[in-house]
Amino acid sequence: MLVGARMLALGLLVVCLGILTYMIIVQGERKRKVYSIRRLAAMDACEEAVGRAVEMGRPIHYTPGTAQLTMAEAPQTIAALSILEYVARLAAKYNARIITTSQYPEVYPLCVEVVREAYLSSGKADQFREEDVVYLPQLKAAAGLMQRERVAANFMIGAFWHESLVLAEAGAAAGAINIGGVATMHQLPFMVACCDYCLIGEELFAASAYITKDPVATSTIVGQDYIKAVSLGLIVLGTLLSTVGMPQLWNLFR
Amino acid sequence: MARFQLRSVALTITFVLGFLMIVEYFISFKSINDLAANIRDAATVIIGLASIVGVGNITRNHLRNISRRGDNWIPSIIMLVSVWIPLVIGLLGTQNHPIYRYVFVNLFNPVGNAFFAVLGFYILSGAWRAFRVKSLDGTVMVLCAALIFLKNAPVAGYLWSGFNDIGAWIMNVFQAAGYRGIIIGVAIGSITTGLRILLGRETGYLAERRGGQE
Repeated sequence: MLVGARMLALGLLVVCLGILTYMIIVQGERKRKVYSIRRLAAMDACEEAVGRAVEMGRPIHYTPGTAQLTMAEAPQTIAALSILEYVARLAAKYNARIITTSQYPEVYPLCVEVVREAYLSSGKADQFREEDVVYLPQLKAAAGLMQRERVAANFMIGAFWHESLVLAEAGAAAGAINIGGVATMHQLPFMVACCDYCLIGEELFAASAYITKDPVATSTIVGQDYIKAVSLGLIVLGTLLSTVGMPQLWNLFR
Repeated sequence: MARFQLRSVALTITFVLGFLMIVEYFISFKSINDLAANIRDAATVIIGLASIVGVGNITRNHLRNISRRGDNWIPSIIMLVSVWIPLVIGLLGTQNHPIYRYVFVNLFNPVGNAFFAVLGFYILSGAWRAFRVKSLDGTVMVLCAALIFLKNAPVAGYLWSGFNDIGAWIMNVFQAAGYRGIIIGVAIGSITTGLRILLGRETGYLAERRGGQE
């Protein structure tokens, strides 16, 4: 009944979920311990970027990437929506206009609701403009939108493909501060090279915990570190065993 | 139904279906595999229906712009025509209708290809901004980029074969080590985020109303 070829993956997943569940239940829920997360420059720059937009009297552009909710990259989109909530709340707080673009129709209503609730929570429901949440079947079109609106800050956070470079360069050409965040490996170099600040890889997933300082969320970030320690241990062990002529562990993971 | 109850129902459905999809990946049991396949089909249908929301948003925004004679209202007319004519023809006459195919082959494809071609210029302008020798990090990045560039340029290999070896060493040792480190972190981060979503602890995307965090 169990698929034989996937037993190792199942075992590793059980270990990961076990560590994370322990951290959530024991450290997060019971002890309510808030772990400190190292500084994320890109998240600290959000307020600066919003402030810059207010001073210049220009709008902010935010896009949660180009991944559908049914794709393997969906966690990046979910993380990007959490950060959208934070940025929209900052925009509402400082009376900045935020233009949100999304490429997929199932992500678009989520963007509308996240931005709407951010304005409602800030007591500025009257400033919410639904027409500023835009569905673009090709996200590349946001390059033209940024040029026309002359945005002062460009947030590109989520999963991206070739659009990352187009949007980053369009943002730079419009004189915007670029804040990126991506965990798709092939686009990471472009983002790092072209953005003023960038969330690299797993930082994207840690950002919501960094913002909210929720005990459960920060506990899972620590849980991630434990899993990385286990992974590192397996890598070192496999290297040592292979070096002394015992490649069984190495073969197991091939 | 109160908002809180709706949220609980949504999170319960997320947990049950998410857990089912994970279990289905690891077991071979016909009824569970069939159920998971049906759920995947249902998700495709739901996403297809969500397209109506997207098209509605485009139509509403551009109609509003045209009625107000706002900025770029003439391109708004072109936009609406471009959306609705292929949509109606595609729905009435299927994707093989000659007009639909004409629009797709002679308009959509060339515009898409042109955008991909523009990417080359964006890479150039991005490299121009990024590769500046202002710090130690920047210098290392420029040096590595130059060596990889020389590895891939046929003329450099003709001048000195060592460029190939140095470029391959950078790619296979430094680049591969960094790449694998990041990808392990991304994979673990994805699992963690997935678990938080299943347990209802990742709630930013649910547009919850709460105050005073920033």
